[in-house]
Amino acid sequence: MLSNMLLGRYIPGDSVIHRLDPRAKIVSVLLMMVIIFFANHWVGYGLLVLFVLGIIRVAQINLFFLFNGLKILLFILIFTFLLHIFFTRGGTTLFEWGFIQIDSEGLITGIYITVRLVMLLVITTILTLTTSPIELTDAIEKLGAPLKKIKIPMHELAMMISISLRFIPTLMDETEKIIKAQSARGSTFMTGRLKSRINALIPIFIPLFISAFKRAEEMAVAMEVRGYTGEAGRTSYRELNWHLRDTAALIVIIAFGVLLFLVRM
Amino acid sequence: MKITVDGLTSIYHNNTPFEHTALNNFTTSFEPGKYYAVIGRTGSGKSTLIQHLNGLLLPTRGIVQVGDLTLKHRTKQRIIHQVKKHVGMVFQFPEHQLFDETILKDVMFGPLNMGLTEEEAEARAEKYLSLLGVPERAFGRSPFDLSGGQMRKIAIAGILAMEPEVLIVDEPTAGLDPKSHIEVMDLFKQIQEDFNITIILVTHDMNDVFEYADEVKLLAGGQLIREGRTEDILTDEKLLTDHHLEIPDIVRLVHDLERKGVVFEGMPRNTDAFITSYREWRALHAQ
Amino acid sequence: MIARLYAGYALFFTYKMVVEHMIKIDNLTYRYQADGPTALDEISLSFNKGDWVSVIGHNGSGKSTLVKILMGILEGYTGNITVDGEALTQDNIQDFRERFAIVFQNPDNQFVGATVEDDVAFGLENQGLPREVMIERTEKALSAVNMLAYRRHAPARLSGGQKQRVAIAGALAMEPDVLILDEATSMLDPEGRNDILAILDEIHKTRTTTLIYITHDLSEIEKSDYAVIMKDGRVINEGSIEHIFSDTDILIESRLVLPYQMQISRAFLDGRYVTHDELVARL
Repeated sequence: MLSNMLLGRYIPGDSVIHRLDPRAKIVSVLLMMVIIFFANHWVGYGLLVLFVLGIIRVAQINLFFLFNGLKILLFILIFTFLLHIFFTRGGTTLFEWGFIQIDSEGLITGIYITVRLVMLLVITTILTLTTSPIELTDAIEKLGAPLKKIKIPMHELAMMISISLRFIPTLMDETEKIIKAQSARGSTFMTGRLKSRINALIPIFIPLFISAFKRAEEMAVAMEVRGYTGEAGRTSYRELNWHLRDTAALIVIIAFGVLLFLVRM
Repeated sequence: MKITVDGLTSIYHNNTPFEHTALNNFTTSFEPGKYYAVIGRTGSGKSTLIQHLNGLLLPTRGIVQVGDLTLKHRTKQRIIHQVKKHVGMVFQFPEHQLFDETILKDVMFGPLNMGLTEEEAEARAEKYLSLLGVPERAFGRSPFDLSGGQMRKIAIAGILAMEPEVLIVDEPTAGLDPKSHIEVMDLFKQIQEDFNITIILVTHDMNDVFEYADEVKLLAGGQLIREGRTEDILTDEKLLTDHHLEIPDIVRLVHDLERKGVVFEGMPRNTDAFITSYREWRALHAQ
Repeated sequence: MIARLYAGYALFFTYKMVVEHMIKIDNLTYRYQADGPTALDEISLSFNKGDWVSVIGHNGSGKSTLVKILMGILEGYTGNITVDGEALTQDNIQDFRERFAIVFQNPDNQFVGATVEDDVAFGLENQGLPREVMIERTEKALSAVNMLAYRRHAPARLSGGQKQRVAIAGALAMEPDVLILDEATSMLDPEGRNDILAILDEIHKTRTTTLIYITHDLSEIEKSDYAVIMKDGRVINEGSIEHIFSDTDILIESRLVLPYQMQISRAFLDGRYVTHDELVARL
């Protein structure tokens, strides 16, 4: 199941979207989050969906693959949809049975809100699908630079995120190994009563914590002996380069926002 | 307990873009009481194979027969649990699985999971800890106060206490100093002989394979390339080199000496045996 | 007269070159707890520039403690350490750190960067080097360990041996005077281990970097110029490989395991030091 999930996953590629400066992509996503709320009737929503489909196309992402990967969130979407259908009142009553009543307004709002949510999810997923975690971290550090003025340690935060991301696969492997090792000793955390399942997690978590602490300590020593003393006096091997296409991307997004604003009713 | 693998195919992430076939239509068997070595370079399918032997993985296609228990694509947890009673597994770096407050309690974990009572489990734990030379006064100590080699012994005791009829050991000496290396390898040989259990050793160390194993299974690309007696397979220098495996030191030495005209009766399997063979050869040719 | 002067100079420089000590350790003693046992007990050693020095000992022999002191991780020792003639003090430890690089045992726990090249550049970033210099040095170091083709790979896609090669590249990129390998091959398969030993052999040939190779495996020291045997915090033997193996009893007492050819040599060749080929020739 987890292998199908796309949230937060990066898939290397060579599209224009992949090559955009991560800062441009993050700013675009933030803009889109606002722009999405400009749409307030079917023309706006139609344009929005077309625009997002266009981005998916340019990013060379397989549409089926994308929606398949987001299937895990289907439950939330259906829940939101039903919530609006049943509890938004107004317009003509379409259906009535006992205390259940569906109004036209409810149906329409339900559809609109769901489209909004899906678009938000798709937009952020496109960002993570086309941008490597390290690029994202770099961009967050650079974009957050002004926050250093108010004593928010952006460099340290970025370093922490970067090392955490780097250790995720290692710790996943480790977890799998420990689960298998305890399972070979007859541990049954997959079956049985809740209480015994929770008890069976102890033999997994304790070794995992011990190993994580050991890794953290060894990592700290390794960083120290390689001369890491924090941000001061440090240069950067990676470089973010702002190109014309990044400016162009932002202009396209803003233009689309203006268009969506103009078709509001 | 005999294990038969019949037409085993194992595919990771089946039906996704990340699909990967680790074993392809694999057929072999493991006879009771013998010492096997499974060899092949990293990624050859060794570790996938052994995980199928005790139900940690289930076949995508084909079957694994453990005694009268059958592991198939959709075998129930209850059967798998039974299989684990019979087939024990010592993973690489087994000390990473230690978790309990005391050495004794940690070793009791497996037996308790197998349904033994506290008293029975404790008796088992004491028996196997003593077998591994852990003094009784240490039983109440935390396993985390020990050195790496000691921790590994405790972890191994934890598996032995389940009294499996087949014991799978995956790279049991990785990261150990040479002295502990020899102790651990001697231990498995000793329990194989004393308790008449099957040992299935997975390792990159061809010297160990040559010294300890009766039979060898050579894997590459998810397929069985050769199986048979250790002295036939590990003396085939070309076969080993083709599969990026080392030639055992003694084999290299004996072959080099043969080219010089020093030819022994049989093939010595370790350094001590070599010394004896050479001494005999010299005595014979001094006359 | 002039000729004599030149000859004198030449001799002096040759002498300097031959016996120039990269590291000199005098009476080094260390305790983890003030009233505890000595982890290092009056150790005196000197390592020549460009040499490959192996430090061999069983677990708890003090070899790791020695490394930690050299790397400035442990403080509060007594005795003197000089590097290239300069005494190591609490104040200049940071400068010394730049001259030492180390590769640890666990390939996973020293990989800081998100990709191979980022990891190699990590130490250079810390030194505040300009980007062009970093790119040049990173490429050079990755070529030296045959990992340039993997420069954009994430660590999760590398084998243990490949990760250790990246760690060596990260160390080489810092152009250290001394490269320490602390049981760097003990978690690798034979293929990975042989790759690392071959790379070290190449580095050794340049004679620019002093290699300190920490191990408990006597079969890995064949290529080193000098070996130090440690036991219970003391140096119990040191010298050339031939010298070390001339007293196999000391090695066995130190809970070390003799390589096969030395076990056989003990039985038939009075325990003299032989390589595999020499053994074949003499039997």
